[in-house]
Parts: sequence; C-alpha cells; structure tokens
Amino acid sequence: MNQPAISPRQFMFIVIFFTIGSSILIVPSPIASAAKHDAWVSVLLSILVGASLVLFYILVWKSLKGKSFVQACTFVFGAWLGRLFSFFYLAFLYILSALVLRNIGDFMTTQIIPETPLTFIHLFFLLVVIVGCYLGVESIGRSAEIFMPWMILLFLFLIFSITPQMNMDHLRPFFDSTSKEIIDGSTVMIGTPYLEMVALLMVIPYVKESPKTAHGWFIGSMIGGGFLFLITILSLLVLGSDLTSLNAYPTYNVAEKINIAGFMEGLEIIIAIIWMITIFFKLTVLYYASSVGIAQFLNIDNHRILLLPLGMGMIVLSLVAYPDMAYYENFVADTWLPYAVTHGFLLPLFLWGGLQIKNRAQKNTL
Amino acid sequence: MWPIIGIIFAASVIFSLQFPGLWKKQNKKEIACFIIALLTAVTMSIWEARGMNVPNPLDYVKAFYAWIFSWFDF
Repeated sequence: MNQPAISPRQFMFIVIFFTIGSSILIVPSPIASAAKHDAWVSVLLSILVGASLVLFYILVWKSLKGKSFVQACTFVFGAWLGRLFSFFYLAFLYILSALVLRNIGDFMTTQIIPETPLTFIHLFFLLVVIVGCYLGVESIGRSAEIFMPWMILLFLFLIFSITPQMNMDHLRPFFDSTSKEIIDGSTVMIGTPYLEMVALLMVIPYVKESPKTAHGWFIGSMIGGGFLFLITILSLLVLGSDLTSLNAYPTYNVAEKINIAGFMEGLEIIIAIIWMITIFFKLTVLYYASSVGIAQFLNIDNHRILLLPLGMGMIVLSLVAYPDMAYYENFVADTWLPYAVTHGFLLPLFLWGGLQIKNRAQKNTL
Repeated sequence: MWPIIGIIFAASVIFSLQFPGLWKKQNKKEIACFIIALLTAVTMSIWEARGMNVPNPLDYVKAFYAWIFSWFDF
C-alpha cells in the first residue's frame, strides 16, 4: 500500500484553513447588510447550522468506508447514473474553485495592485496551487502545519492592535433586528464555508484511519467558525454595520485602521497575508479534490496529468464567471445558496441513503 | 495576437513537460484524456483571448434555479 496519508491533526488544520479561506473576505459584508448590527448573532446561528451539517458529513463519511465521493457514487448508483451524479458534483467543485480564484483576484486588483491584469494574478496564484496539488496531499498537510502558527499570530496581532478603535456603541441596541433579517444573514455563511465542505469528502479518504478524524473535522470547522465570528464582530465594532455592509472587503478596511502609537500605520498588507494563506489552502484543497475526482471519474490512476490542462481551463472560467460586480453580488445573493444546498446537502443525502441500502444488502449476502 | 501566442506557448510547454512520460507508459486512456483536456483548454483560452463571448456556466446555473423558483412563485 502506497496510499498517501495525512494525520488527523493535519486534516484539522486543513479544515480550519478551508473554513476561513475566502469567507474571511467576502462574508462580513453581506451578513452586515442583511442583519445590520446584529450580524454577529447570525454568525453564531450559522455556526450552529454548520455544526449539524458537519455532523451529517461525518455520517456520510462513515458509510463511505474509505471510498471517495466519486467512487461511492459509481458504487451505489452504477456506472451511468453514478457518473451523472459525480458529474454534477465535480462541476460544482470546479466552478467553486474558479470562484475562489476570482475572489483573490478581485481583491488584489481592487485593493492592492490595481494596474495588474486579472489574468496574471490568477495565473501566478494558480501555478503555486498546481505545484501544491502535484506534490500531493501529504505536502499540503505538512505545509498546513507550518502555516498555522503564522495565521494565528497575525490574527492575534490584528485583534490586539485594533482594540483601541473598537466601539461598543456600534453593537447597540442588541437584538434589534427581526428574526427574518438574522436568518437571512446566516444563510450567507451557511452557504459559503459550510456547504462547501462537501469537497472534503474527496480528501478525507487520504486521512489515516483513526477515531480522531471525525473529531478533527468537527473541531476544525468550529475553530474556523470562531475565527469568522471574531472577524465579523471586529468589523462591526470598528467600522459599524453601515460601513461593513458598504465596503466590499470590510476586513481589509479594518486592517487599514490599525494605528499603533500614532506612527505604525499601513500594516494592512501584513494582515492580508492571512487571507492569502487561507485562500491558498482552500483553493489547493478544492483543486486537488476536483482533479482527483475527475481522474476517478475518467477511471485513470494518475491525476497529475490533468492538473495543468485543468488549470488553463480554470483561468478562463474564473475570468468569464463574473462579467461585473453587479452580476457577482446578484449571483451570491440569489443563486449560490440553492446551488450549494443542492450539491452540498441533497446530493450527499441521496448518496448516504443509497449507501445505507447498499451496505445492508452486502452484509446480507455475506 | 500576443495573448494567442502566449496561450500556444503555454500549451506547448505543458505538452512537452508531460507527454514524454505519458508516451513511455503507453497508457492509451491517459494519453487520450490528457490531449482532450489540453485541446479543450486551449480552445477556451483562445476563444476568451479573442474577446468573443465564452459561454458562462454560471448563466446556466442561474437560469436553472430561476426556473425552479418560478414553480414556487418566489
């Protein structure tokens, strides 16, 4: 057996990065525009829903018995129907990774390097991701271990250096929003990191068998949710709900406000390392999941040959995906949640039901 | 002009990096998958680089869910 393997601890770190990546940039603003100054309540609500979703994914993983999502689809539904299901699943992963790539590209071109064409940012970011996927899941796991302290230190630095600018009045009056507004806000975060975790069902067969794996997934997603809660409440405390909902990247604007003793300013680019690291890991996991999935879909052993051609396609897809900002906001607000629910909840539910029947039938024949 | 030259250059770099190894293994399926994937990617890239309208999968996704929601009168 030469199966690549990562430890449950490394898997937990990957889950933390996966939860934080890209959500840290795009989540606070729509939540704040839906739930105003009570946005932090909707984040807590979505962490609760996310916890139950993760428990559901763990249930699915337990019945997968070491297969990946795509393999299990073929196993349960047969070659043709299974292929159809895994085609939609893989299309979801591929589109999602193109959108995550577009997130970092949009962020860089609007905030940091506005003169550079989007294509080249995507190209160079994706090249690093492809190298990561080429080296395999073990290297991704180990580098997650290396980068974890960096992210936590930078995060603590952000929190401590912004403390003087916080203003509790921004949160008052508490619980002023209606429950509909709070639920509307929470759907944003349920859709963006939690339902996307279905991608991890492609990676989890590579985690060493251990009772701690499920633990690692659950705790990792909760820690990631905690980071998102902190970043949302930080944006609310520093900027207030109006500015948080108006800015495209409120967390970056929070970092711009850092002012230590009146002379240390302009540290936002150091803070931006947090999202570069986390988005890198999220994109690597998604890209790895989709390339391994496509390789299993086509029944070829070596997923590495697909990495570069798929990357070329992904750059095109990420460029054409959003013609403009209005399209993006419209898509995220109206279409993303049902799309993610169909592929992140209904599809695994079907698979889980099928696996239950299939596993029982197999037990009876033995 | 330049973008297309760049795309063809990139595609030939990818081809020369991976094809020799594939050819040595003589696995017809892998070779076929690789070439089809690469050709699709190159077609899409040139399509995009010439400024033509590449079909956007998100449009289909959006249209599909709009159709579903029209049943429920949202």
